[in-house]
Amino acid sequence: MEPGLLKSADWPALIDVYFFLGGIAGGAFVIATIANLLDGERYRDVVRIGYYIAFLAVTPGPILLTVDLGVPTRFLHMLMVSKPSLAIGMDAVTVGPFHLKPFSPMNAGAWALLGFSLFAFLAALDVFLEHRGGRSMRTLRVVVGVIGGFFAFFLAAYPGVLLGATARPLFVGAHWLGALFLAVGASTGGAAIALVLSVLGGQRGDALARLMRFTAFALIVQLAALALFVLTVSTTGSAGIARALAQLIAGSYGVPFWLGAVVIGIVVPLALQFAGVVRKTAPAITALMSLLILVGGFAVKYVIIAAGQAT
Amino acid sequence: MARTLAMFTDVSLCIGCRACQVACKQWNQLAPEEPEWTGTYQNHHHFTDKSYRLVRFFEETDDKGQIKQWHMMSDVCKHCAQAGCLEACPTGAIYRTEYGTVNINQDICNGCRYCVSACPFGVVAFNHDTGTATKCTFCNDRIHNGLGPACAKACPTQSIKFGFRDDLAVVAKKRIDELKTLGYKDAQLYGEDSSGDLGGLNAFFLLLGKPSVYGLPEKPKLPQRNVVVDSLLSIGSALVVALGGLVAFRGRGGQGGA
Amino acid sequence: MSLSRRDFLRYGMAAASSAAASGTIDLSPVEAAATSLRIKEAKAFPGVCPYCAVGCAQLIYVKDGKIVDIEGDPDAPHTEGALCPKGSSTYQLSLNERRITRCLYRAPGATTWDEKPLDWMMAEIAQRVKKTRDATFVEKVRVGARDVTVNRCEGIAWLGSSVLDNEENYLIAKLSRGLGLVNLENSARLCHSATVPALGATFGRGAMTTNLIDVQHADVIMPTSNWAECHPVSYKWVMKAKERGAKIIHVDPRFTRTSATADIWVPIRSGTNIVFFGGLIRYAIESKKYFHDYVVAYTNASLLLDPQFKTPTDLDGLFSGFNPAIRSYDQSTWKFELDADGYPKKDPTLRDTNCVFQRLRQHYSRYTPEMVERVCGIPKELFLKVADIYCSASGPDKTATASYALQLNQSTNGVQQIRALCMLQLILGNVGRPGGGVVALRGHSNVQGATDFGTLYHMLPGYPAEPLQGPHPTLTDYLEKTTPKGGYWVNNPKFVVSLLKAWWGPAATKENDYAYDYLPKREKADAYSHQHFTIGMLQKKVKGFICMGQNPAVDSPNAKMVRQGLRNLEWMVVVDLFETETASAWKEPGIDPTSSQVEVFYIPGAPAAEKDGSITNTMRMAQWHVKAVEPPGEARSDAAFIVDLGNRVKALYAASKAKKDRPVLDLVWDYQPQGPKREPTMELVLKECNGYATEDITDKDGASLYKKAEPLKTFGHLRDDGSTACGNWIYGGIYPEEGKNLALRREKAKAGDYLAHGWGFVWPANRRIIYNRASADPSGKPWSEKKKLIWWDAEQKKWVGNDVPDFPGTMAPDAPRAKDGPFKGVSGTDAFIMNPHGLGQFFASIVDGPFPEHYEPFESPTHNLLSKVQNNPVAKVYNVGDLNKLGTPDRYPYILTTYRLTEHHAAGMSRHVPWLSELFYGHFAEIGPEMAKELGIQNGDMVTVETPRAKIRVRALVTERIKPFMINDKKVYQVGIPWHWGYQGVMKSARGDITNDLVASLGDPTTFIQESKALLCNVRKEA
Repeated sequence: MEPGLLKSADWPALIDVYFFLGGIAGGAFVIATIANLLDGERYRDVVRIGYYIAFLAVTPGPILLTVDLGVPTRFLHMLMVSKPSLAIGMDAVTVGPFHLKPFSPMNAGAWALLGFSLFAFLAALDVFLEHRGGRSMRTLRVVVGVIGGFFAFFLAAYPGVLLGATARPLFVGAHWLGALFLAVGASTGGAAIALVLSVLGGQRGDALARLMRFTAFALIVQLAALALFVLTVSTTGSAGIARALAQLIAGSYGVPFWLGAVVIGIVVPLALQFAGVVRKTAPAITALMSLLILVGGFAVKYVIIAAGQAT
Repeated sequence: MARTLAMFTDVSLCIGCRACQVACKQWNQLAPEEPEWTGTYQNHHHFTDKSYRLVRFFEETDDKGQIKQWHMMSDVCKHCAQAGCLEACPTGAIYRTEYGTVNINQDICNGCRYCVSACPFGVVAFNHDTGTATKCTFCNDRIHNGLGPACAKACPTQSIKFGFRDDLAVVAKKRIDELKTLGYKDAQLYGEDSSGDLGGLNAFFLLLGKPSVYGLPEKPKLPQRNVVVDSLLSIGSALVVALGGLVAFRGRGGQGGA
Repeated sequence: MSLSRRDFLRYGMAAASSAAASGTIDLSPVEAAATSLRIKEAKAFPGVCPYCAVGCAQLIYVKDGKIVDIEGDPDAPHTEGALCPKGSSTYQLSLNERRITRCLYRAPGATTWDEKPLDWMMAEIAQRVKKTRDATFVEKVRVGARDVTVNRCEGIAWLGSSVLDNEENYLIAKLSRGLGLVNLENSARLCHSATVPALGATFGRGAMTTNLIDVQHADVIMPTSNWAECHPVSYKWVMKAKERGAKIIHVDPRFTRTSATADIWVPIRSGTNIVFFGGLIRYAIESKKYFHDYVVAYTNASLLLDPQFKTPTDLDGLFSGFNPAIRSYDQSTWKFELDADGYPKKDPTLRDTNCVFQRLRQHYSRYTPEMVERVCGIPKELFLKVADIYCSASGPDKTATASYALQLNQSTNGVQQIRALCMLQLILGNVGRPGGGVVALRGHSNVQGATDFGTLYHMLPGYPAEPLQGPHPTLTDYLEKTTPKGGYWVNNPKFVVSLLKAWWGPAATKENDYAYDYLPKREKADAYSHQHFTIGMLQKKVKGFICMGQNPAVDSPNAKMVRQGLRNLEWMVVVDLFETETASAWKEPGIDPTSSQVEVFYIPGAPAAEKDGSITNTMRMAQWHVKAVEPPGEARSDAAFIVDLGNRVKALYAASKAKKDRPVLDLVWDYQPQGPKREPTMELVLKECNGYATEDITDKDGASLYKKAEPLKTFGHLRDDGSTACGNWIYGGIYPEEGKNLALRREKAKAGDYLAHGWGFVWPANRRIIYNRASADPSGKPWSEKKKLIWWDAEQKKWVGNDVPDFPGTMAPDAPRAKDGPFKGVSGTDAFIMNPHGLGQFFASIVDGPFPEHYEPFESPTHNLLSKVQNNPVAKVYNVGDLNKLGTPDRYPYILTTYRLTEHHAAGMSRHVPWLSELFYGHFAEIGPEMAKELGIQNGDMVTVETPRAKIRVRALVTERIKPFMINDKKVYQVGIPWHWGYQGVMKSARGDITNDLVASLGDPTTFIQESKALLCNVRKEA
């Protein structure tokens, strides 16, 4: 690809925030669901905080998108228009005013956002009611958690797939962005829950430790996906792509990439985890580690999107 | 679908006069804009929301540094048979007309700009005034009324030809043969062939050198072809993460406990 | 289009409706509107593009009284519906926020414009004209022993315009002569004035010999102009020839967009074209590639010259008869040896050492390939390759076309540079034949027409000379001295008398020599040209100035001096579309406006789309455009201004009994202004130009030929007894019957008529390729089947073929020289009927020599390698002291050449059009990488370019396309600067320094055209 020819969407940082929050929401939701499935009682706090975070993190999504698009009704066009055309793309499905375009990750993502928002709301409502002394509807929670979980994965991963389906040199040959964004969602989702739990304190048993273990695991997946992303991009051979990658890892984005995304976001937290520091001095260190993961998670998305758009 | 229409831009006949650029502006009533310094006669680096045609200028020198050729290429939306912008569009605003051209319905477009970054040729541009994406419409109103696009009509040397795609392909191939006999050994068609990701371009070109001479990708890709692989890898990583979660939260007591 | 329009229309409609029925495309309101065509219900008016002289026919679509679209007329045979960027932006000449639609007045010393009513403005202007005329009028002067009535007013200058219509130029020519104005010019002076004498002296008419459509039949095409960039739509015919396999050789100092399409680019140092063409002529002769039979039959090559005549080969750079004291030639030795009948003696073998051919050969013997290399900077091998290709396109079945424009014109050797090209075409037998000819590419839409209609100080409409006080005191003197003994110009008295009748009607009688005294008489041949009178403004001799559709503040040479001249005026009228630099010279940035006392009247004008009239394109084709919409506000046509002014001045003189005011009062000036804006009826003007009977005319048998006031069918019917009136004889036949306007014809080309005789009107007599008698051999048969155009049909006893014969239609090829009548002196083989001997002229009297000889530009990097005479010895150097200092290579080491770009035009229009202004980033200078490196200049840096006259700031565009030359074995860099920019303009990119400030005040000796292609400059990177 010739970079001089191509244009960028020039999405503002607003979109990065949405992608970041969407990842946290998805990650937190999935963690809560898994914890609930395995032992809802024992991981009650993880489940509750997880679902709350999922709901709170997804709620700004449509608002952020609408702000970016300018006119509120325009967001709806992602899903429906008065009379959709059939001539709008590969395997597009239209039902009444609605349309689904499986090869447009943005369209699919909009549906996922809608679906997830519904389930995140139900799950949050459920844990809220239970917390306020109401009875939990266990079966319903499982159903909401499992179905919502699929949407959650989708929400976390689709921005990466979306970027990968553009002509931007940094993205067009990269196949691991979806996986990377999903892993970041998991790690930041876990970190977000951990941060809240460590701040609130008083959590029971080993839930936080297990959460941190999971988060560390997600970080390893994140590191692997990031490495695979760089590797696939670097092996595509095109001069334009090589220039874009060089900008990311050595050019004007090099410092935030290595320092933010890699060192702060992955290496330091993992080091803390494996050094066993967390175990001894929680919760302050847990909170710090979570913060680093969150910062790093934002950094990795931000720096990749910025570099991809600029080069 | 009706018979596909196309534009065939023969660079060997282009005199770089930019009549096409202005005719396009006039017909589509596009506002003027201050030009950018490009170091050549070209007035913008890229297509803009107010310039749907863009003549690109490239100087080619020989190994002695002497001017060998001054390439001028009137570039335009390719109206790809498989169009990155159309596939990317989340709203269905970008649609394919019955003539095979790709058009943006300005009422439906919601301004997400996804198409802008999804076009493998950098064609689609965002109009900040209307908040919508714009590009060459192939003079949709004209072709629906039996007239050719304004650019092709204005072109002084008939470097831009307009007609049915299959007819133009015949013309183009004949022209290539002629040019080869006249000694233009690097002359080649770009986008006429329907193999490749984009399934052929409905605005195709005759170039006098390799596509890279004109800043064009040798093998343009349809970015949406990545969706399947990227999604599978995402699902794979989702499974790994889920598994990790199950492992982390399963069982009693444990190593992770405080 | 590879499908017929009709088929596609049908197809398109069907497909659209079926798609709508199936509902697959949802067209919301905007989209639905988008697929309804805005020109569908609009009315289409015939228009003509007002920019260059290709004259692209347009359709102006009007809906609800508003222009909604302007595009090319697809039926036009010469353009096939195409338009260049300028033509495509014509819409913005009418619909433009910068358009001035109210009258603006600037009081002396004021710092702002005031809006004033049109009526007030016109009244004031008429009074200024009267006042200055009365103050500076010269009625009689003493010449020798007699008083000569000269009726001359030198205090006012009028700049007509080559962007105004024919009729408007005619009205200016008529009114200004009626007022006695002699400072009368149009922009043709600055761009193509050298064309007229060069082509005229060689072929007989000062106009392009061929037709653009015919260029496609050439085997080799040699543009010596930047054809593709400056006349893009006509370049389609070059590209068509190229598609067929024709070779394109581009001769230009710079590698341009034309070079990019050419097979061979020949870089040539500006101002050395005579050496290049002379080298080709020498090559054609020495390699025997010239078209011998053609040359013998149709040129004056075989005529014998007076042995006293000497060439620069004999006299080291001078022709015989040079008088250094007055820097001029005594031409008494420049003549033929005559036989008993007074005709030149001939040697058809071309062997006589005194025949023109041998003298020509001797003259160009010095123009060797080595000399071409050293003077022009063209490598010898390249020259020989080009010479072989070009000269091989000659003979019975091959032809070559050559174009030229300002590279040849704008030089102190302007006429001779063009002459040299004409002679090359003549010796190769390329004139009057299909695929041949000299393509004179004019820059403005109506350069040809403005020239034809005499808004030039030295000639009247239709090319009779404007009389001089010395040789032409009376009509008899005038006719005797300006009418040749043979050739079609023997009819000159008919043209002149009919013109006088058209102007002064009943007041022009046989008794008063048809009011010949009314015509202003020039003092001398070199007065009143554009540069002359701008200097007159500077020196406050010219006090009033009317400027229409031209922008001398930017366009004229030594423009900085010109602007000072404008500020020195007492009053100035500007009629234009936009606020030009001329109109605003008093508030030029950096100048204190109060320092200028010029009173300025700005009258808003109208572009072609808003008025009726005809424009003659570069191939002599007049096309009529119809008013599509009313001009906005107080704007109105230029014709309305001229006619209104004429009426008001006449009214001011109404009470006068003075003899000097009779020319004004007797001027026939009834153009029936109509409507609220008092627009004159333009068909009346056209009819007057065409010619009409002033009384009932009968033939010798008493049968009625014409009723009084009936239009004449042809200029062949003009008479010299006052019974016909004709404003411009060469346009005779354009309006052959009442209501029949042939310029308005728009018939598509029919099969077998590729020259499309049904489209517009081509002077003379709708002949598309002139001198076409030469397309047949002396016996009347086509030279070859491939190159046939017209031929003699022995059965029908007339000339037939694909064009109107430019020859007496029934004169047989073996006809002897006519003894009398309209074709006196013409024989059956005299293809060049306008010339006195009916022959193409290698040898012709031009003030700087009968054969073109190379002299260096006044600013040159080298001494003249051909002779000891450095510069044209008779060229005009204007004496304005320090304002016209010339540079030398030690201080100004770089060659500077100026030029035009496709996207911009003369400085009054394109920079006010946003769609054009956005196509270039701004003003720039093109320099080569080597020079840039030496000076540390990067692409995009600001640089200062300096000549002894001025310095300007521009952006450097560093490009491989600009190359240094090896001149006399020394490397010389060149700098190229387009000249469009000025301080007015619609956007940042449209404003910049004025290139013509750099240009010197010099003039070709024949036409006083400036030297703006070959200068010296210095360049500095801006700190």
